[in-house]
Amino acid sequence: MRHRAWLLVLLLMPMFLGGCWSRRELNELSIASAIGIDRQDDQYLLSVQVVNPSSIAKKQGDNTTPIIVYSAKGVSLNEAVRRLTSSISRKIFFSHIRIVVLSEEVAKRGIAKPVDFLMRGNEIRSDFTVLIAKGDSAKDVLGVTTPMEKISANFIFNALEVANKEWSPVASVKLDDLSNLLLGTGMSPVLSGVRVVGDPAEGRLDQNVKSATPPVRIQHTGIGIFKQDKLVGWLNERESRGYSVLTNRVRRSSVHLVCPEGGIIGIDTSNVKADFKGKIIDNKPQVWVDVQYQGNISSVECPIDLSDPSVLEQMNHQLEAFGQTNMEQVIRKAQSLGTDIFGFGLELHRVNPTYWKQVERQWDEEFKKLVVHLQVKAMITGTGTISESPVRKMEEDGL
Amino acid sequence: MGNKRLASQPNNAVTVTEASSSTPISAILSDNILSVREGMGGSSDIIIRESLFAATGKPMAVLYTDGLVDVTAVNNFILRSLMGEPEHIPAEQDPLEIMKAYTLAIGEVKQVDDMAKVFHHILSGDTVILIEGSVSGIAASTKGWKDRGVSETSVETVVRGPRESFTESIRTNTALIRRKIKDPNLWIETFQIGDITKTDVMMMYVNGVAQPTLIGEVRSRLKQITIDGIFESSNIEEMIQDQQMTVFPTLYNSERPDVIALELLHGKVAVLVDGTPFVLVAPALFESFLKASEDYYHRIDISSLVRVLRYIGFLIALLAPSLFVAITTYHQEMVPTQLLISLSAQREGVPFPAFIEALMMEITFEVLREAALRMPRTIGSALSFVGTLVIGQAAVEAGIISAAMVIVVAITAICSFVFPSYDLSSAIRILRFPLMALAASFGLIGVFIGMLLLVMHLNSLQSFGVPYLSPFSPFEFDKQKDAFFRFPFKALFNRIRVEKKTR
Repeated sequence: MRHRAWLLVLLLMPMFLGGCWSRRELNELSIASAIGIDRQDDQYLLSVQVVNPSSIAKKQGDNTTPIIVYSAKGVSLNEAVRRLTSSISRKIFFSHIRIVVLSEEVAKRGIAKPVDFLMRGNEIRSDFTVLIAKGDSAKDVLGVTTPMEKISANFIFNALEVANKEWSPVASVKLDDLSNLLLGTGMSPVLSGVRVVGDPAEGRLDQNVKSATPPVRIQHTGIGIFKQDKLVGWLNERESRGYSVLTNRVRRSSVHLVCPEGGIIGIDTSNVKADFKGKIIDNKPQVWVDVQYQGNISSVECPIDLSDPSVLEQMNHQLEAFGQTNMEQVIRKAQSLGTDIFGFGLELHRVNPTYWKQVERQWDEEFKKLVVHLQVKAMITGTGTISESPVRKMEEDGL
Repeated sequence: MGNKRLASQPNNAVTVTEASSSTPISAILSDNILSVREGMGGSSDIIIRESLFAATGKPMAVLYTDGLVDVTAVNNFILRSLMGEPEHIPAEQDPLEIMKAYTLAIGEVKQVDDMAKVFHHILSGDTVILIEGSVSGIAASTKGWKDRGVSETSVETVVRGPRESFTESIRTNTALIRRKIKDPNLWIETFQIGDITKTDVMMMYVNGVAQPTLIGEVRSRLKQITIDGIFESSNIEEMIQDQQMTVFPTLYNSERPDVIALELLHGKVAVLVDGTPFVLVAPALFESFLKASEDYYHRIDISSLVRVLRYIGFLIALLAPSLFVAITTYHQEMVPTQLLISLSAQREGVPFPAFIEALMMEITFEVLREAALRMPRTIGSALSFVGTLVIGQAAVEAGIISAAMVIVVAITAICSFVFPSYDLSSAIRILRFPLMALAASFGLIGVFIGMLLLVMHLNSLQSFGVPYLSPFSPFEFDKQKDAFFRFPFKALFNRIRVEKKTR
């Protein structure tokens, strides 16, 4: 009987881990969807995009705006969060953050401090995407209204996810990955850039979403590369594509090749795979990179005979060359900046830990001297659902 | 308790019957007639027909209760044959022997020796014949009252399967079971329970299949019952169940002969009570309440699927409101973002906390359910109309209740009807409220501790010595064939034969 009583007590005790005091009714919460971090007057300017549920969920939707952006300054980010509460009637609930936008200035000064804040709090989950506002302030990015997705944070998040799979020159980086890279060695982080196309002030207005061609919109653009935790440069589109292939981020993309007789041919690439092999030869690191492309022809805009294997062969070569130049360019850029954004360091660590111990501290310098052997193999396998191009027929008839 | 109270009133029927129980039948017929008249308080439905026994010429009396007997049988096979002109009857014999041997054209005939038996037989629909100069009488079975007749099942309905259900008459019920199991090993033991009602209670089992210890246990528990009246099998159930302090039923009941027959074949013991179509089965395990008779009549794939669905329904009916309250008030981070936004939009302007909201809805639903049961059937449609309008639409539109809560309560209500057994659904109805309170004050931790306590409680239960949660806990591999999934009928019946052999 005494055992039973103890068992009951033991069972009842953990109940107070929860307890009424942590109860929050849904209508006492403001669900935050995005955080923006800017620097202003040597302080952080924290912007929070808060969702207005009744505007979003009701069938008709009342005329209030679906998102509201509140901002507050603070020497520390936490201070800014607390200060925000003075201008908002409810408790801000950070668990459903989709994106965090850092201004370029914050990124250049070092992202370690904001990342620490985001990782440390228990309410903020770490599965959101971190982005850099390229050119604009983070607050401006959060303020732009978007059609279709009433919550612009969702728009930015989803657009990036789709682009990351279907179109290579972006990188969706989650907070987890970012903090792992910042804490570890052998690979430097990158963050995708986002910018406002048009006048941000106009983008805040409701009219923006009422137009069929919204005058102000948000665009993902380029990949920002970091050295340690500081933004040191941006990759252009071709470099970004090279980067995405090298880091196995891309699943599919699109490439156009030039026909021998002029005109172009569109290729959908798929199953793009990159494989690293590192080796230390004479105490000098070398990396072999094997890249495989598979492709399907998506459009033909020149007279070309697709049934001829040599034509496909020639196109394979073109595709290989295209990939090769992209990747060489991005490797060169990274090496000139001295930041290993590809994770070659991780590979070398794996194959030769003793060597890695020696160079770990000055890896950025060693990386500049790293010899990278690129081996690109392309295979165009499909020609789509038609074999003979109508373009060729036209030209033949023209003759 | 009731006995004492009644005994203190000297003019009560009980005292009269108790007094007459020791009284032997007098040799003087008029004394006997008088004591029956007085014993019954001159009740008008007791018919006492006095005439002469034609074979011996002695005065006799035929006593029966009008309405309980088959009057044609009494007229044709008792009165006519006793009063008619006898043929080749040796007159020197005892008149009772003559009746039994020559004149009474009735199947079941018993000799009665004291007045208590006389009363009992008269009141159970038998016809008692008393004759001048004899200290015993004859009770002839002439039971023939109006009963409802075998009709279609009203509680446990099926799409496929036998449609007959038990009736209020215990004889019909035993016959319905006998028609399913035509085996001499189907044995019946009869008890009379209830000091005043003297209700027939029968214990039925297949000899050689049911464990003798189980049979003994049921028998002894039935014998221990001391009570004034039994009106329904639930009265018996309450008194023979293992544990009083539980919301879970530990005896199964069914109104379907096929269910009872199957259970008997599985070695269980059935308890039939006169006056009710619900037959008890012991032992009853948790899983028996989630099985429907129809499971055995449909193809195994769909039966198994439906059975799994019932287990899911059980969890939903038990947990849906409490999980909803716990998650939306404590663990908002667990809800998908879009859903959370939609839920929080619905809650805009709702004046009550989620728990109060859930409680109000649950209570409203329970009230509606009770009202629908109790009120006259003719105004039933009005109630359901008002119920749906009030709960479903007006409350949401007025902003008193959030639409999500209506959905949760509705799902819970629907799920509580998937069980073939009404008893389990009442257990869930009761448990839902404490779980909701735990959820509202401690969040998911509260819900899980509640569930933990519930599982501990279920594990502590027994039904006639069998652990309530078996075959899941203790896990019996062999019996999994008919637990979550239904194996082919062949596999199930092999099991019975094995059980038979090992004994």
